[in-house]
Amino acid sequence: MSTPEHDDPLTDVETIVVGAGFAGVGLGIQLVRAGRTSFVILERADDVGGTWRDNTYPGVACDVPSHLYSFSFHPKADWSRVFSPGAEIWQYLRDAARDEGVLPHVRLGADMRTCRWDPQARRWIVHTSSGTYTGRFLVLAAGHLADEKLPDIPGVESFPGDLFHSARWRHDRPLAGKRVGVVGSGASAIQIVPSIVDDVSELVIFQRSAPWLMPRRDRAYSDAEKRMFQRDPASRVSVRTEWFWNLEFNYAARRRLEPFFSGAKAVARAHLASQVPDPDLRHKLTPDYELGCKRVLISSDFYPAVAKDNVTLEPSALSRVDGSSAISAAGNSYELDTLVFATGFEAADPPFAANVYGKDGRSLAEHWAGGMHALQSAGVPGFPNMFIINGPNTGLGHNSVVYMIESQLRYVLGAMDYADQHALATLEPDAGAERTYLAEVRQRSEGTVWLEGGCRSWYVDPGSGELTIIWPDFAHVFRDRNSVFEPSGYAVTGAY
Amino acid sequence: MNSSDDRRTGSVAAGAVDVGFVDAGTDEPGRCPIVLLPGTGGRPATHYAFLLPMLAARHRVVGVDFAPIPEDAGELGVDDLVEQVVAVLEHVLPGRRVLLVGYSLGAVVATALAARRPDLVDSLALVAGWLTTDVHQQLRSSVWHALRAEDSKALRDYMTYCAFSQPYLLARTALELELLPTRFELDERLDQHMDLNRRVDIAGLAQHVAAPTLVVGCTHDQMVPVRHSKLLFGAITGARYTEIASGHGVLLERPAEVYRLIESFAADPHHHPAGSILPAPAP
Repeated sequence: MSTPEHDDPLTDVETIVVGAGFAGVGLGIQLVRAGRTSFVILERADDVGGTWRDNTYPGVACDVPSHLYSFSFHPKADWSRVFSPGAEIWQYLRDAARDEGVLPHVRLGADMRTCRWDPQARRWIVHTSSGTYTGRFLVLAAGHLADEKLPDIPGVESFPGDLFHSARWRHDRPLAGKRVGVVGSGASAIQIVPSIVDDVSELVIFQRSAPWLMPRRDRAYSDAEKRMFQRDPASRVSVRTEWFWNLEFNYAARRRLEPFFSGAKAVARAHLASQVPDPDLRHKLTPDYELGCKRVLISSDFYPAVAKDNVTLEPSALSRVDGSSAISAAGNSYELDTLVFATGFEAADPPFAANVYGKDGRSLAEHWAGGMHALQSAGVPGFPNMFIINGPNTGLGHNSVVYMIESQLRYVLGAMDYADQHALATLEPDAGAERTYLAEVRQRSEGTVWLEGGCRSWYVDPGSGELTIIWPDFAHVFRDRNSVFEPSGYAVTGAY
Repeated sequence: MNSSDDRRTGSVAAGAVDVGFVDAGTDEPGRCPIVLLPGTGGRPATHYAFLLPMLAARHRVVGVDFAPIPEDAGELGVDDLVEQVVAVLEHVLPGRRVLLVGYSLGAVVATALAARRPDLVDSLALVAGWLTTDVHQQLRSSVWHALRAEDSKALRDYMTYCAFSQPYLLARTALELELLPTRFELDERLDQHMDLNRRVDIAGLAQHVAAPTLVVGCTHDQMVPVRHSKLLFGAITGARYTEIASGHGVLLERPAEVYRLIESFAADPHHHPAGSILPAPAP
């Protein structure tokens, strides 16, 4: 079923993947290695790399150590630092896609417009900005942190200066000598602020709520270490393994388990006290909710930057803009040249869901009106032969999301193998099996800080109050529970 | 998931002493209760601070708080501690068979109990345990006793040095390192356990253990080197074996990994065949 728009040999394939970030590239590698080479990866942007391609703001880096925040099946021995810069992670993904033979399968500039299940052909039809593709399987790998969230601020259109989101950084607009407002105090803001503070003349941080901040034990790896990791792969694996289990330990604090919960808070408070001597500023930087309810951040240079003379920490949200005046919820007004929105991403309500239509013609967004949900965090009833990576209940507040992605890759490959072994045309999650799974997830989330920590976070669906983003247990439990495809939860049709 | 707030504590007489216990979680159909035996000088609240409440989310879990024996009772023996555990089991879980988890000296006690009272033990998990104290352990113990006798300031550093792996210590900040040794309680119980540790020999008993057993060795253990766990693997007919890349203080270093092993062993003790080495998970 080729289309007039284009003459692409990958128009009709076994598998269509949407998105070329960690999930899409990782799946591509596994498909190539499994000999499942009939696949196309549709990417709306001009390169692979996902969030690491989009986020190029000053100071961008990961807060999971690089030896863990990378594919176990495509290791890199020479990470420059414990927490490598974003550009290095992006380059790693580009190299992985090239070296593993994934790039020939990637279609750049192919913005997915709609995905529709064709019940007659029993295939997915995907319309993109550059043509139509059909496939037996559809894997949505569009990511948690893909579509930037811009708060609806009255008067922003009257702002005469530069205004942009942190994930769309305007490197052509230098900030030197400018009066800059940073909206937000989350994971992006705390990396941006120390990186620009010495260039700008004035910096105003609009902080809706103070984050919990832990010390960042970053350092460069020595040449000896890098060559050790290269010459003795077991030494690299043991570092990865050690980080993984060290981070798993932190889950105890997310369950508010003592003495670990108090211990983690004591470390954060000691960090604040040692870096911010001024009691007024320290008060403003003290979180008013429980540790872990929102993402716990790590930084050893944010507090010192905030304490500098040219920085004002506004302890309320940006509420409106009037010309060059940015006015806070508390009524304070600041004259600014540039506004940077470090306001995060549409995680709870992913925009791609509005464009994916299942067998009854309903969109995934309609199906998810009460919040995202899926069987084994991957399959959705009514959407045959479709899998989501980084979908419902796959985010983590304490460990590496790449570990979660790898778990889901096993699941997706397992499902494909099952369909082939039994010559099945379709696999469709059973609604009852999904309900059982969701009840289990809900039970796991009870008593966690995400539901009971007294904060409003992007982990919780604003509509239903359900924990739809976070996997509320140990990461290893997710892998044990969700990396193996369980056919009993699926209705199947045969004769493929 | 239930929280650990519903913990119940109590004590029961065993001979001349009262043995404490913690009873947490609720019985789940088809799952036997889990009983946790602390190691040298430890208590449920210290050695099992992480594991007990985490396991109690899905299991009935009982932690045994070993009592020191009276000064006139002579030397503490393994069977004294076995008796204490049996007293708790018969009081808290009458007529039940349990998954018995022992750590360090607690693993020695668990092995002896499983041999003597097979009627009480459904399955057995031995973390950093041993059969017979060897000359390497006696040398370390001699240094410990000498430092303890002269009330040396070096004792806490020595215990930290012995208890934790190099990777674990390297990953701590100065503040965290400073806090570590305070976790040891230097008391009568510890002294009695340290004395017993010099005399352990349960090699003759271990061969009578019939329960399916999970043996967990610690790769970097300097107190009970990993060879001891491999010997337990050899000695116990129904043993399976796995290792954690940790020092002896595995319940502090890698408690989440121990949790995973106990949870999966509890779900199906026979999942891996007797005599097999479990595949190491590769995150």
